[in-house]
Amino acid sequence: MIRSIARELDSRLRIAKFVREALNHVFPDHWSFMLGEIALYAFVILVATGAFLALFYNGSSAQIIYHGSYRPLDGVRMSAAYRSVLHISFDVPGGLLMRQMHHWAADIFIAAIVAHQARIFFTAAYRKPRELNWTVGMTLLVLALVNGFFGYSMCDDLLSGAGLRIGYAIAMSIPVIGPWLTFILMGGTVPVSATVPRFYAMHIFIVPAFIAALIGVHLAIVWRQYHTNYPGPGRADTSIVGSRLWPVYALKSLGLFLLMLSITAALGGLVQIDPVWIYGPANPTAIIPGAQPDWYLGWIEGAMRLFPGINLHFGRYLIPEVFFPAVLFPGLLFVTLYAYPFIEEAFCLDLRAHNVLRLPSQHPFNTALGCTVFSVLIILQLAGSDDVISVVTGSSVVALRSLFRVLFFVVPAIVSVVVYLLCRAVNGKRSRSLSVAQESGNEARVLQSD
Amino acid sequence: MSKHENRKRQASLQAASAGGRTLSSLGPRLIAFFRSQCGSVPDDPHDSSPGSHSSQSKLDDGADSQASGSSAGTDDSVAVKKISKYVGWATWLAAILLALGKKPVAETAAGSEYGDPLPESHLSTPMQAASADLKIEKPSGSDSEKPIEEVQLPTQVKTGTVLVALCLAAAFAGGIGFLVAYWSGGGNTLLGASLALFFGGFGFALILWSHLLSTHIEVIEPRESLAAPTPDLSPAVDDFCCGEKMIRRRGLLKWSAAAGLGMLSAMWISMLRSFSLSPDSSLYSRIWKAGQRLVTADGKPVSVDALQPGAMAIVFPEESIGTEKSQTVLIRVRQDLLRLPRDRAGWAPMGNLAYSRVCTHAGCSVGMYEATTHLLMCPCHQSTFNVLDGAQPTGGPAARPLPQLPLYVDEQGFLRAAGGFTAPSGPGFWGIS
Repeated sequence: MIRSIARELDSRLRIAKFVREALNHVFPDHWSFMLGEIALYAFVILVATGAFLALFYNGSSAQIIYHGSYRPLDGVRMSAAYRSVLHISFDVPGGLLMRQMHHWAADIFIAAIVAHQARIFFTAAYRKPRELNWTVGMTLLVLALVNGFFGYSMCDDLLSGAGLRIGYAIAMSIPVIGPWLTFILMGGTVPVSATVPRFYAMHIFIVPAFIAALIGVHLAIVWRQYHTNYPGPGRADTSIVGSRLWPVYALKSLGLFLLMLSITAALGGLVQIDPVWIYGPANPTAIIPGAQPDWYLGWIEGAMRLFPGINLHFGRYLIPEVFFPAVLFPGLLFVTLYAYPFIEEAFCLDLRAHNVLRLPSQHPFNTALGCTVFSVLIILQLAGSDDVISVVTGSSVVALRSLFRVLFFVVPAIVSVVVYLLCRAVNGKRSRSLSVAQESGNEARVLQSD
Repeated sequence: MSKHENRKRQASLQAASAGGRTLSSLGPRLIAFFRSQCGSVPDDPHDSSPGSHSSQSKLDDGADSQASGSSAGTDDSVAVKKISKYVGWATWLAAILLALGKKPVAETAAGSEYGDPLPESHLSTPMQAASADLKIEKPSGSDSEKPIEEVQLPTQVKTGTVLVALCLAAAFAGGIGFLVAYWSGGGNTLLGASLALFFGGFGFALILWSHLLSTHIEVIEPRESLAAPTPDLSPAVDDFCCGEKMIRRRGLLKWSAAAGLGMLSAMWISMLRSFSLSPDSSLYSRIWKAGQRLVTADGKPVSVDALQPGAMAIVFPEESIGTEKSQTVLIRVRQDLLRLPRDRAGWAPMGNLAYSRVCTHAGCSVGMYEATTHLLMCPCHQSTFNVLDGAQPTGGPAARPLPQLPLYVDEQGFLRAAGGFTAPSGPGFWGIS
């Protein structure tokens, strides 16, 4: 039966050669190579659950009075968008499950991209010929972050309303073009009725279209270049070691996809996320204490909390204090990350093609830099919840802020030195054991020749 | 005519005797109708059938063509064959689905032993030898892999197979659970748990199955060097450039094409106008007008002694209650504590102070007031402002004070604005100062 289908297809498309090549494509097996796959499958889950949600969501900020099935909000003034989210959560069968799965999948998506990029950074997989794919991956990360913000802003609840106003302040703080950019994006001074429909179109159509296209490019490049291998016996830049796509790898990958679905379903069913009905509708004169953004924007939130009140006046013009931690700092970080493969190439004068990965210990500077950046981000992430930490520990927010301002400088400094020395030590040990092995090998050869 | 034909006739006779035209004869008739609509098929199928069949059997020499080639009957029989083919496919699909649990045994029996780590010799195959075996012929199929051996089923495979079946059974149970929960209006927890069971069971089954398929076969293939110069490169570049040369006066053409592209982008960028009115003077508005009464959210005017010292209220200009920019915080403090700048003397009648409630840092509502320290605090980034000295920031990330509203008391004892805010309310931007 398969044979006859194949014959019918091949007599029309001549694809047998391509399909055979595809089935026999070699992929290496390592748990750290699954991170990209996890991101890919999270995106598939996002599209599937998002399509379901889009059929019920109403992207309008028209103000209405609620008389739905959630009694505690009966008679409350809210936007039609927020009402539709309540409708999805309480009236549509399976709606809350889809909504929570969507939110969890978004968090997993971004976490997987971050972990994937970190793996690539620490194993130097970004080196030639993979610099292009590194920039594609970075762009996917940026798009995912942006779309996450659009997504939770669309619920138009009290928490996301505050997030929207902070987003507005950040966009407005950009010198010269800030106000124009903000008005183009949001349609006026927030809160304004134009914002939700715009974010809706961006969130469900424009950004996902770019993400899907770039995922296609990303996979095509991986396919063309073959995956990298970890160093080991028989591993060389001129070969690829792994298992064939069909059937083992494909089966395993499909299994991973199903497990991802299982995990998001379990989280969506059992672990509450973004309970917008508790927050209430967006209200420009109300605010929630202890408000936190989604985790992937926590580091920017932390930077905004730690950065001191410094602004620059140029005659009539102003660069407000928000610009430095929320635009300049992330901007510099991402520009550096984008350029990193090219910087390393230029700096190390290394233009050879690399298909075998570099272990983190083999390049202490690179590893120390990566760990330093992560320690900075973790400190900022913690600083972004200093009010929550203050409630839990009972210490004052002001004291915590001072502490984090000190830690911001101290921890990365310690981390960079410790990691650098650790890598040196591990590397030295390995090269010693390698040379011992070489010597014993020589002895063995000598013995054999005798 | 073939047996098939006879059987069909018998069937149709029976059908006719059972009660006229039935569905079984309607299908073939419909198919015959559609066939008659095909432009390439001549009216009489008998004339054309031998030719068409012979050409078909040249293309495909499988079992299917034997069946279709042997009997070129009426259009009825052709349709029957087609239908039986579909039924066959459906049976196949069902069989595959049923056999899902059993399949691994058969596969592994033909494959290699399970769980045996790859021999060291295979792992450390020198690349030269590997590439000599493979040449550049890629994919190489199973040539380079471990030779297939007939081995006895180890116990791991048996337990593995049982585990796969168990996982699929769990998935099945999860699926039933989901359907039941969904149709009986079950809660989110039940839906999520059963769905998780379904996908989890299925996923584990596939992963276990992949382990049964002798995962430990490792393939080493030579890589094509992408960096080496390819013979196609130079001709490709030449073709691209020559194609350009064939057009005369390309200098002019190039420049006009570039101008066209520039025009397109200018048009496109100017379309951004549709997305907003550009930032207007409302950004610089001081919101309040002199003489406006302070009112609470429900529209009641506020008298000068409405608040006790240490208390706080949210007020709005009388005409724009509840809007974001106009929200104002009214605080009463003991008058002897005030340290307002000299030019703001008299702005706080009886210790009533009014400030914009929109944080100058990132635009949240400055919602918290601590009466003992006289600090207004924004819950978003913990900026603090001292209300006694004109809401100057005292720590935290804000750089600019909250705009103050000058107040006076009218004849009836109600608070009114003596002018606008001292600055536009809300976060800073280019051109605000």
